[in-house]
Amino acid sequence: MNAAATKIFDFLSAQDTFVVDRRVVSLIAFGELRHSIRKLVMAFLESDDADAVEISDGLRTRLSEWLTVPVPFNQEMLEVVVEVLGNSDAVLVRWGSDIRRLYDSARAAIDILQRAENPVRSTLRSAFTEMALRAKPFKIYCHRRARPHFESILTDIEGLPSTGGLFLHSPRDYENTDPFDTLVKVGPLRARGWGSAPDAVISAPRFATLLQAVWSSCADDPDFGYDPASPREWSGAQSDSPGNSDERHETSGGSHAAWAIQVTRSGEAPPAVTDLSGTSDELAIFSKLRKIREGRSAVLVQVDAMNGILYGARARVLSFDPDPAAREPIAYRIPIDSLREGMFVVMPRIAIDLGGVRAQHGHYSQIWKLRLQAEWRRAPNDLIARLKAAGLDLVHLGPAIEHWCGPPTSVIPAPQKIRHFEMLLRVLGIDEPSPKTSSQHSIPTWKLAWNEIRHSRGEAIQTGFLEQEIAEKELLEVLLRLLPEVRRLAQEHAGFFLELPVGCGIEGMFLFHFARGLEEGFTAPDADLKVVRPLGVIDRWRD
Amino acid sequence: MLFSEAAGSWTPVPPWVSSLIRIGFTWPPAAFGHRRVALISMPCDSAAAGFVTLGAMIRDLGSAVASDIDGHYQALLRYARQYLESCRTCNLRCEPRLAGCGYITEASGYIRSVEHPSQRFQVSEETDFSAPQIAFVRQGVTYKPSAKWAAKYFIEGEPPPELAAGHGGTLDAEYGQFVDGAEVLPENLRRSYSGLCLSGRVMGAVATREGLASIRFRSESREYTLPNLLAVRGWCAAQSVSRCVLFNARTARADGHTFEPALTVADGDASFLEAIDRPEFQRSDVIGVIPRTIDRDRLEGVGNRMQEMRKWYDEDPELTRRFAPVARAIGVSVLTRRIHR
Repeated sequence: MNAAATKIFDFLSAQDTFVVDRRVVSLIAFGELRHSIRKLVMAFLESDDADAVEISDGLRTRLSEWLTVPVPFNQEMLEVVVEVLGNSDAVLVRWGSDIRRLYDSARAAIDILQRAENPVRSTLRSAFTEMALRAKPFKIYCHRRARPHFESILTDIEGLPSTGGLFLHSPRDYENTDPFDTLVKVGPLRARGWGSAPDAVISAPRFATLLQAVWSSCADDPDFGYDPASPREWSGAQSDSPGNSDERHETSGGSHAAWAIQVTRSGEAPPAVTDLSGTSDELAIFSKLRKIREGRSAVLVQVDAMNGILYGARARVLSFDPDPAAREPIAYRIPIDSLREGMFVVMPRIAIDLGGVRAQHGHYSQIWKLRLQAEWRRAPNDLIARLKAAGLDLVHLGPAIEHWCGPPTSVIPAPQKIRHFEMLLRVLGIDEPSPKTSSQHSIPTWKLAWNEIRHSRGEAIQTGFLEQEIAEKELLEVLLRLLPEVRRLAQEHAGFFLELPVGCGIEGMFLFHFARGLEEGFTAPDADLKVVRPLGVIDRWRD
Repeated sequence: MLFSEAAGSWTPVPPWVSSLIRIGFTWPPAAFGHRRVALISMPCDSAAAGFVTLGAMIRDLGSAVASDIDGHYQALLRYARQYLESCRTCNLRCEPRLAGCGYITEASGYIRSVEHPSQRFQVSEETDFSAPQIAFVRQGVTYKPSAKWAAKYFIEGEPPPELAAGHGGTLDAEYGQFVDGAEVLPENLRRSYSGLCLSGRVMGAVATREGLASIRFRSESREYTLPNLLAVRGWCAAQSVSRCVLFNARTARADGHTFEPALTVADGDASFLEAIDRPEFQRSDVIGVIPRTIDRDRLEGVGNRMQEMRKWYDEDPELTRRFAPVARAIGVSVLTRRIHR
C-alpha cells in the first residue's frame, strides 16, 4: 500500500472537474524537420540493407525524442543526424539523390531552428515560473533520461523547491505520490513508447490540472486512460481544431472523472503535410511501424548512467535485495512487481560448452584486446584506415576503438555487430582456426571470441544451455550459500562480480548489477533481452 | 464504527470502504452453472479486496448453510484416500505439479481431536471407502467414528469444523456492525467455512497480510485490524475457526485441503487472472480487484481476458445496480455465465 487510499478518494471527491491545459506549439522549420526525418525513416525502412534499417531506427529514435522531450535546439541535433547518416557527399554516394535531398532539407531546418529557443522549453519555463509564483505544487512526468532537459529549464527559475520530489518516472512513482496541483507532461498522452505515461493520469488523476506541452499534430492515444472495468474513448485525442484556443468537456460516470480540455495554440502554423496514411503524427506512424516488427513487451532495468538491461515484462529475474530486513534476499522477482529500484539483478555467467571448447569470460578478449591496444598505440590512423578499407564503416571509429580497448567489466567492450567484430579480428590478424575440438570441427578464433562477448552480454541462459528449472534451483542454492559475501560486496560496490567457489557444482561467476531505475514501455526482440546495452541503443525499442 | 488507515487518525468509515464491504455483502450466493466474474477497478493501490472479502464473510455468517459441518465427513474421507492412495508412497513430497497427481497440497495422514487438540491420530489402512468408514489409529487403538461424530476430528493443519460453545478460538468481533441489516448466526462464529476464498497478492501471503494490516476498525469497546476480521487461518492467534481460505497466488497453493470456494476475491491483476483460469476455481464466482495505476500491459491483460469471456458471459447490469451507490472513482463490471438451453 502506498499513498493512503482515503486521501486519494477524498481528493477525487472534492474535484468536480479536472483540467487538461493543452498548449500546442508549432514552428514551420520544425515541421520541415519532422517531415524530412519521417520520409527518411520510411525510405530506409523499405530497404533490405541491415545498415539502412539501423539508420531508420536511429532517426526514428531521435525524432521521437525531439517530439516528447524539451531538448534545446542546438548543434547536437545536427551532430546526431551526421552521426547517423554521415556527411552530405557520403549520403549521395551511398543512398542516392532523393535521400540526399531529404538529408539536406533536414540539415537546413536544423540550421534555422538553432536561431531560437525550442518553444516547448519557453512554454514550460513560463508555466514553471507562474506555478512558482503562485506556490502551486507540481510534478513532472517524464522518462528518466529526459530529466536533465527539464532540470536545465528549472535551474533558471526562482522560488522552486528542490527537484528531488518533482519527477515521476514510472507508474509506481505515480502510484506512490500524494495528490498535488499540477502535473506537467511533454508530448501527447500515450500508453506506450516515447512520452508514455500511466493511463491512471486520466483514469485516476492525483492532480487538478494536467499541463501538457505538445507539438502540433501529435494526438493523444484514443484509448488513453484505459480502464478494463469500463473502457471508453478519450476525447483529448481529437485532432487539433483550427483557431487559437478551444475547450471541450468529458463527462464523468462510473469510475471516470470529468475532464475539461482547454487548448491554447502558439507559434507558426506549418503547412499540413500528411502521408498516405492521412496523418502527419510521426509518433502514431512510428508506433504502427513498430507493431509490424517482431518484439515483446519489455521492462528496462537501468544499471548505471549509461547502460541498462531489458527483461521480458513478466520475466522472473534472479535478483538480490540488499535490505537486511528482506525475507528473501535472493529470489526470482518480476520487474516492477517485486524487483524494485535499489536491488541488484544477478546475471549468472556459466561456462558454455562449445563442443569441447570452453569460452571463459575474458579469455579470448585478453588476446585480441592486447593486439588492438598495441596497434592503436603504434599507428592509430593506419588502423582506422585498414578497418575502413575492410568495410568497418562506423562514423566515429576512433572513439569506438578506444572503447573496445577498454578492459572487460560487466561486459566485454567490443563492436555491437558480429560482422564488424569479424572484420576487426581479421584486420588484427586473429582469424586462424582454433585447435580441433573433440568433435573434430575447427572453430575460427573470432567466433570463439564472439561467443565470449555474447556470453558476457548475457545470452548464455537464452541459448538454453541449462535446463531452466534445475538451473534456477541450483543457482539459488549456491547464491544463498554466498549470501554473507554478497552482502559485503553490495555495501561496497554498485556493481560487482562473484566467482563461484570450486566444488559448488557449477563453474563460472555471478555478475551483480545495481538497479538504479526501472521503466516500462519497451518492445524489443528476444535477442535484445537480458543483455547489457547502452541506453542510447535501448531507446530504439521504446514503443 | 471508526476507521483508520496507515496509522492515521480515527474517522467514520469512509464511503469508499462502505461501498466495497457492501459489494461483498450483496454478492448473491453461487448458482450452479451461473458462474459470475466481476472486475472492480480502483484509483489507487488499496485494501479493497480485503473489504470485499469482509463483506462476503459477513454475508456468510448470516447463512445457515455456510459452514463445513455438512461435508466434513466426506472431506475426511477424501483426505484419507489421498493419503493412502497417493501421498503415502509418493517420492516427490510435496511437488504435486511434478508428480502430476492432481492434488494441490500434501496429505500427511494426521488427524486431530477437536476436544483434545494435542491428540494426534494417523489415518489407518482399515479405512473402507465403499462403506464408507474412515479409520484412524493412535497408540495402537483404532477409531472408526461415524459421520455423526466426524466433527469431533479435523485434519491436521486445518481449522476444526466446529468448536464447542464457549470454547476459546471462536470469532468474537462485532461483525453485525459493519453492514446495516447484517445478521450473524451465533453458531457460525464457532464454525469454519471454506466456501469463501481470498486469492492474495502475487507477492505472497505475507505481503497480502501486511497490505491489509494497515487498516483498523474501532467500535466503542474493541479495535480490530482487517486481517483479524477476515478469520484466515493463522492470521489471528486467538482464533481457531477459519471463515476464509487464503490462496497464495505466488505459490499457487491454498492454506488447506478443504477448498471448494463458492466465491473468490482476487487481490491484483495477476491473482485475478490466475483465479479465473485455475481448475480449483472453475465452480467459484470470482471478483477481481485491481488498481488502475498499473501499467498498460497489465491493464490490457485483464481487459483482454474479460473481453474473451464475453463469448460465454453476458454483462450483468442488474447485479451491478444492486451494489449502488458505489463510491466515485470505483469501476465495477460484472459478467454472468450464459446458459445454453
